[in-house]
Amino acid sequence: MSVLLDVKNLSKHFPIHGGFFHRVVSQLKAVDDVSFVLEKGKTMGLVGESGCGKSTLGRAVLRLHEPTGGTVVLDGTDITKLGAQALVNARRDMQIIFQDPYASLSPRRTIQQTLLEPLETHNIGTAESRQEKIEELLDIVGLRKHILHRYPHEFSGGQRQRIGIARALTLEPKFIVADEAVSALDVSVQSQVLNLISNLQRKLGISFLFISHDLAVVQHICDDVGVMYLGRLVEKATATSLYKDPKHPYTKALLSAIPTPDPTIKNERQILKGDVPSPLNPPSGCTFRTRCPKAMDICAQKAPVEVEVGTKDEPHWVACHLFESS
Amino acid sequence: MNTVLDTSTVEAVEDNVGESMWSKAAYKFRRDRAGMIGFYVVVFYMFVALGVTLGLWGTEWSDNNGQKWEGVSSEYWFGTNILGQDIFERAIYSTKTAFEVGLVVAVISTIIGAIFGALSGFYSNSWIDEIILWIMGVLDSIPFYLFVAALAFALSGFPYAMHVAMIATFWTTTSRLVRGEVIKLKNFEFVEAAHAVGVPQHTIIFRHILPNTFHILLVQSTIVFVGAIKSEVILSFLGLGVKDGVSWGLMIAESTLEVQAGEFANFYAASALLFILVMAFNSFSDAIQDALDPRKVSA
Amino acid sequence: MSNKIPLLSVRDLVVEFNTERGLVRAIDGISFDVMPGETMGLVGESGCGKSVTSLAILGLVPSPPGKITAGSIQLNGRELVGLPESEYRKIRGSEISMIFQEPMTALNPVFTIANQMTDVLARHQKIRGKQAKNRAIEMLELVGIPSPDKRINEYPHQLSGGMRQRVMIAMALSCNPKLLLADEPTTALDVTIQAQVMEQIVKLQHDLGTAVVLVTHDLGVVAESCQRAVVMYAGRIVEQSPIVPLFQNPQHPYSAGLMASIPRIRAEKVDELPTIPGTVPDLLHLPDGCRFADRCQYSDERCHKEQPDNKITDSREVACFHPCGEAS
Repeated sequence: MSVLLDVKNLSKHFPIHGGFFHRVVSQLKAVDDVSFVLEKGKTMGLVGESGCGKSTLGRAVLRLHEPTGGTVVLDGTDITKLGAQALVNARRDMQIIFQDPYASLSPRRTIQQTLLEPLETHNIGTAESRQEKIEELLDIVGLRKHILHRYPHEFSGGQRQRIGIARALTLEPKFIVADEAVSALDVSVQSQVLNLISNLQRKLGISFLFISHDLAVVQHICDDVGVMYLGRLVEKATATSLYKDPKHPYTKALLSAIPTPDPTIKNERQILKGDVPSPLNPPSGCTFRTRCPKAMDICAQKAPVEVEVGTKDEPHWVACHLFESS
Repeated sequence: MNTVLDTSTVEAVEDNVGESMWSKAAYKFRRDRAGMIGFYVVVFYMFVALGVTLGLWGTEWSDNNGQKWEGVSSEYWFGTNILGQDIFERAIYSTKTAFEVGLVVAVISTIIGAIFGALSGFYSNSWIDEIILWIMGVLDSIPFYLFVAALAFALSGFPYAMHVAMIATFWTTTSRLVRGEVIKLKNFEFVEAAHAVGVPQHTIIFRHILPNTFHILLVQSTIVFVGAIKSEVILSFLGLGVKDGVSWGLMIAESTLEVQAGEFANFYAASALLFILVMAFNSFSDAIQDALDPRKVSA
Repeated sequence: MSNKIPLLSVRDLVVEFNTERGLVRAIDGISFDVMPGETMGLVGESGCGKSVTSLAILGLVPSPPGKITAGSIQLNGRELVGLPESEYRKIRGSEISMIFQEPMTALNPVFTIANQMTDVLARHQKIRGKQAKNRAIEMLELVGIPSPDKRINEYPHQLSGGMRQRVMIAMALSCNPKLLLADEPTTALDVTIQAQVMEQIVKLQHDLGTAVVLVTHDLGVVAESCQRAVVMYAGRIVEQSPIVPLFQNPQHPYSAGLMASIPRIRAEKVDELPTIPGTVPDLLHLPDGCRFADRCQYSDERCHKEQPDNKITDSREVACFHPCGEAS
C-alpha cells in the first residue's frame, strides 16, 4: 500500500496578544504535534468534539493555515517547504469541501463562474474543454446542466454541498479534506451525500481526510479513524478496530455518549465529568486527565506517547499511560 | 458511465426566473410608495439638469435684462433678483450645478472608499490597515470647512477645488463601512475556498469580496450625493464654492441682502428647489436601503 | 387510550406565514395531546414545522408575518389561541417554559446569571432579593452546575455551551412549569455534553413531574428519552406512536425511511446507506395528494390525488394509504 500523505509532528499554534503594544502573551495550541499516514485511495476519519483542533488540522495539512511546526509530505513532496508559486501549483492535488453550504459558495457568482474558476486560475484547457469538464462534473454529482446560470441562494443545502463537491473535483485532486461535509445537512440528505462521497472515493481513487464530530457517519465512510482531543491525536485505528475495541478512555466515552436510535437498548453511559478545558490553558501531562475516569499520578507529569496495540493487518495505536508497558 | 449516483435522487430545481438580489430588491422597491415618488422626483430633476447641459433651457441665467425685483409674471416665472436676472432661469441652471457636484463627488468618493475599505478590511490589523486608518483619522479630524477653505486657497483658480475637497473627506465614511463588511466577509468559507483553489489574493478581494459590498456602496453613494449638494450650498454661501455659474447656494447668499429689503422670491426659489430634491433623494435612498435589506419583510 | 386528561391538547392547528413569495402554511392542521409528566418527541427535518409548533404553543409566532389561522391549543382545558398578550405572559415561564437551541444567544450577555434567574422568579413567583437568589442557586445545583453560589454571579460568556444550556434548563424549570418545550436543546452541543444535558432533563422531569415536548431531528435522543413520538413532514403529522413500536415497526414510509437512512453505528459496514430519494417539497408548491408521495416507494395514483386520512390502531396513528407496504 503506498502512502499518499505523511504528516509528521504537525503543529499549529496561534499567538495570543495582550497588554501594551500587542505583545504575544501565550500560545493557543490548536494542533499539537500530530502525526499520521494516509494511504492512496483510502479514507481517514478525524473525529473529536468542538475545540479539539480537527478543523484546524485539516486546514494546516493544506497550508490554508500555515503550520507552526512539522512537515506534510503529499505524494513525495514536502508541501510545507514550497514557495508561493509552487504551492499554488500543488493545490491542484489537494482540495477541500466545507461544512457550511450557505457560506462556501460565492453569493454573487453563478455556479458556472464558481466551477470554472479553478480551471481558469490554473490555465487548464480551452474554453470548450473547460465547459465540457464542468458539465461532466455536474453529472458526476447528480445535478442538471441548467443550474449553471443560477446563483447559490437558489439552491437547497444538499444541492449546494454537491456543487461544493463538484468544485473540489475540478482540478482532479489526489486528496480531499472534507470538513464536516454533511453536518449542516438534513438527516435524510446526509445519507445521499455520504453515498456520493464514498462512490467518488471508490471510482476515482481519491483519498479523503474526513473530519466529523459524528462517529456514526465516520464509521460508514472511513477506512481508518483518528480521535483528537485538545489538539492531540489520542488514538488511531482501522474503523473496524476502533469501533469494536476502543482503547483510549476518551474514545470509549465518546462512543458510549452517542444516543442509539433503539429504545430497547439501555446504554451503559460513561458520562465524563466536567467540561473540556480551555485550550489556552491545557492541563499538564495528558490533556485528558481532568476528565478521565482512569487518571493516574503519572498522567499529570508526562504526556503519553503512541503505543502500538494492534496487529500488522489491523494497526491500532493509542496515546495513553494505561497501555505503556513499564 | 460517469454518473455515480442514480438520477432519481436528483432534486428538481424550479424553473423560476433567475432571482438575483437585485431583482428581488427592485420588486420590493416598486412597492414602496414614498420611495417611488422620491425616485420620480429625482428623475425629473435629472432630466432638467440634462436639459441645461444640452443647452435646452436655463441658458439665460446671467442675463440681466429685467428690472430689479420684478414680481412674478409670464416672462419671469419667479420674478427677478436685485440685478434684474431671471430667478427661474438661475434656479434651473443650479440644478445642473447640483447634479454635477453630486455625481462627481458621489462616484469618485465611493470608488476611493471602496478600494481603501477593501484593502483595509482584508489586511485588517496589518500595517496597510493601520496606515489607511491613520489617514482616515487625520482627514476626519480636520474641520470640514477649514479644510475646504485651505484647499480652495491652495488650488486657487482650479474650478474643481471644492469637488476635490469634498471627495477627500467623504470617502472615509464609505471606507469604514466597507472595511467592516469586508472583515466579516473574509472569514466566510467561500473566501477560503477561493484560496484553496489557488486564486491570488487581489483577485479574491475584487472578484469575490467587493461585489458583496455593492449594496452598501449603493446606499452610501446616495447619501454622499445629497451630502455633497448640501455642502455645496453652504460652501457657495460662504463664497468658497462655485465661482462661475450659479447654484442654489449662491442664490441664497445673494438673497441675504434682498431679504433684508423684503424681497423673498430669490430665497424661496432656491430653498424650495433644494429642499424638494433633498427630501426626494432621502426617501429614495431609504427605500433602496429597505429593498436591499434581506431581513425586512414587506407587508 | 387511558382516561387521563391531557395536559396539552392541540387540535387542527394551522399556522400561516405571509412571505414575499406568497402564503405559506408552515403547519397545516395538526392534532396531538401531551399527557401530564410524559416526554413526547416531536421529530422531523427542517421545514417540517416542528419549531413553529412550539412557538405557536407559547404564542410566540412572529406576527407579522405569521399567524395562527385555525385550530385550538388547550392547556388544562384553557384555550390559548387568541389569548391576549397580558394573559400569555402569566403563562410563559410559570406554566409553560421553553429552552432553545442556541445557548450562546438565548441568554442576555450583559446580565449576570443571578440577574436573569431572579428576574424570572420575581415575575412569576413573586419572590425577591435573597430568597430569590437562594432558590436560583438551588436550581443551579439541581442541574448539576458545580459551585453554583460562585457561578451564579458570572456572565453568560464565562460559561461553556453545556453550562449555559443547563442554566437555561434551570431558568425554565425554576417556576415549576407543567410543560417544558425543548427546541433542539442539544443539537449545538458536543455529544459528550449532550449526554450530560439530556440526563439532566430526564432526571428533572422525573423529580418534578414536568411534561416535556422534545423537538428534535435526532432519533437517537428521542429513542433514549421519550415515551411517545410524533413525526412531522412538510407541515403535517404523519405518524404518532409510543416509542418502542415506532422504532421496531414504523408504519409511515417516511418514518421508516428516516430510521433506515440515519447514519448509526453498525456492527457491520454497509456498502451504501439506504436513502430517501428526492427532497422535502417546497411549501409554496405543495402537491395535491400526500406530501410524501413523490418520494415514497409505495405510492400509487390515489396517493398523488388524495390526502391520506388518519388510521388509528391501539395508541398509534398514521396518515397513509399504504402504511409500510400494506395494501390499503
